Amino acid sequence: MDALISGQAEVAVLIEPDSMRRFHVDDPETLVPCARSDVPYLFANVDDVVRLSATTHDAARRELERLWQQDRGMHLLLILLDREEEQDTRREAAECLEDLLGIEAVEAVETFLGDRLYARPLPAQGDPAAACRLARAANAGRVVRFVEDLDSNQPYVLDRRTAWDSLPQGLFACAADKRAFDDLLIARGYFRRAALAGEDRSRVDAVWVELLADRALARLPDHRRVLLAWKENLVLVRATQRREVQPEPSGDPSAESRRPKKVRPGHEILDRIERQKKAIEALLTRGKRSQALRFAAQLVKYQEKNSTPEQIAKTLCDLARRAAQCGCPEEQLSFASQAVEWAPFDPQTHNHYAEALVSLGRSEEALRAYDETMERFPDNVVARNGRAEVLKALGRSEEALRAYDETMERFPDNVVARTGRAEVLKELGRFDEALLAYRDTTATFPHNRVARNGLASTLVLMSRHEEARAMLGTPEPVCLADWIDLHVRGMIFLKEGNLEEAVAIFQKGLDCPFPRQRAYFRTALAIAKLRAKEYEAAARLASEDRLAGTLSAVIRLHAYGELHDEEKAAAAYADTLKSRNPTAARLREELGARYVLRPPDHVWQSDDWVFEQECFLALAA
Amino acid sequence: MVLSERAIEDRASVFEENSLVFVQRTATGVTPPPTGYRATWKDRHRLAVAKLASRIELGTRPDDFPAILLWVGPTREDDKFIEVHICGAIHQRAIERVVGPVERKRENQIIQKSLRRELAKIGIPLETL
Repeated sequence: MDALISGQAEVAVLIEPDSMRRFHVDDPETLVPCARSDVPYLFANVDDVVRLSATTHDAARRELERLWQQDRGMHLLLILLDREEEQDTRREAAECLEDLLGIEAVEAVETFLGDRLYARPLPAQGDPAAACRLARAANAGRVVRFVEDLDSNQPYVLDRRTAWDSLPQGLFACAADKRAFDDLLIARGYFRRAALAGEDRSRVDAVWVELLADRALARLPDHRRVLLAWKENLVLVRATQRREVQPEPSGDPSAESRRPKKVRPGHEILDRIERQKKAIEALLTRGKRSQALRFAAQLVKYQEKNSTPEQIAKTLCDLARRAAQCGCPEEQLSFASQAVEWAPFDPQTHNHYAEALVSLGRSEEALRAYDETMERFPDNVVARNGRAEVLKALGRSEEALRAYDETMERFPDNVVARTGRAEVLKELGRFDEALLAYRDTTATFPHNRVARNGLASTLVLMSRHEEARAMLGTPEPVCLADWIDLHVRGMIFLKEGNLEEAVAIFQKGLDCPFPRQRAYFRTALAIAKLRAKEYEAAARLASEDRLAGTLSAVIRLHAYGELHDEEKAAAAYADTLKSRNPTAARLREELGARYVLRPPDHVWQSDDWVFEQECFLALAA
Repeated sequence: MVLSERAIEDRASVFEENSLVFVQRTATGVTPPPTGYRATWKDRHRLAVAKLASRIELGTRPDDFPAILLWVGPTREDDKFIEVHICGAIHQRAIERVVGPVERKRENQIIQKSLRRELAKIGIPLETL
């Protein structure tokens, strides 16, 4: 007879050639007939099903009991460690766990729990100090020892886990392969053994010898290369964590080293970090940049005592994001560079760094940064899309298209790559293809606002205004996509010649909370002013713009040219030379000929043509 | 898990029986089922009457209704019930209460106590039968 057993479900099913019977852990002697179709229901949502072949009822009963003890042991340990749990419940959990840890078995509960708990650092909610205190009060000696050891080995647990997580996805055939390795390493206790080896080189080496010789791991593809890369990464992780407080050496677990550390509650730390991040953001908004940088340095110093390098990097990435939203690209770059230093294994930090370079207009450097990130983290889709975006900004549209195509081939469900590709087509003036690409994307992702916004702006460029209007959302903007909708709505009025409505919308857009979008409203308003022949207002608006770049330079060239301010028109003309956008190049040629170069043989374009091209730039941005 | 009626009433429909068994029995495949087997949540009583009216007698009391509505057979395929289909995801706020057994083992009692506290944090009571 065979048997299917799950401790989580508390059930075992005995399978005989012509019948199936099940029994519950509470009453193993009562066998209840069941059908094959019951099995999926009996084992729904459990992940510990074991199959025993050619077994007996008694062996199945023992296995069920063992799996049940392991599962309940895990629950009780997590309850004990949870700082938000009630003290009484935690103490009761310690008492119960003490009994489970005392059970001798082939795979004892203690080993089972250790293999899993040593595989990842305790979360912020974990409270080992109080867990030890409560276990002591419950006279649960085994539990106290287990939790103390787990707590004191956290630095090593973190090292091993960071080194594993930062292995490039390219080492594995697919994400499932990495998970298969991870699961097996946990189940066979290698994370625990590697952490318990601490700084002792000979013990660490012994673990790696065992790892390399493990037959179960050897069945996984490329296992040797993966395991050696993990070992190499571990050395690098230690080097980058030099700023961390060194853990006490293992080997002589004296009473001093076993004393639980004073642990600050995780939520308090997070609250404080969040408060400081908000204060830094407020300073950036008010333009107090040096003070913001000083606050950020203090925050990092605080986190050095309470957080891991990865958490510090996350804080810095968040600050970089907030700096970008506040329109402070220099500070964005500063935060992102620091993040890379703290967590060089995290592709997110590299992407933030490249994004900051983009914000500063240092596109060539950004491209190099994305190239390096892609080489190091070939499966990072954010870097791929970022690189394609930079290629587009550099006017290398065909390369950008190829980059998006490659990404879509590898990540067919990535909506950013799909909309990015459609945007390039739109910018190239290949509206029919862009429309098709956007429609394809909105069909697959009907709620994606970027795709809907892109589709609407393409329809506007094709002068299909009513269709575009039908796609736009609420006129009262709340989120970024609403503001983009409002911008498109204003552009429709502008193209239809309804300057009054267009100006009212663009004026409203100057209160938009998103700096980059605000810049789009400002340049759109400047185009409306050009159309109304209010050149001074147009020049002023375009001069205020720090973010829209090429279009504002074109508007300044147009406005100062009409105002006969040759010096400023020439300066604006020089600024337009930085752009490789084909539409901007056409406008530069026309406006440069009109107001700066004045060649005798130039064939003049009409004012309507100039207006259409300026609208194109505003909508393709 | 008992769902809050308010959270599902506008996006739930009922079907006369186990839809898998229905499809196997009638060989309708994935095409929409013929009319007469489905109702919106608000009209579920009409479907129940159409299916189960013959089982209601003069002496039938409200306490008997659950057993008429859900009959547990020897296997899952033999179970008789009216199936509810809910469109879209279920948010935690859609859960009205959770009902579980009275646990006998101490380990399970502690886990249930912890679960009760977790659920209470999001306003969901845990009841035991």
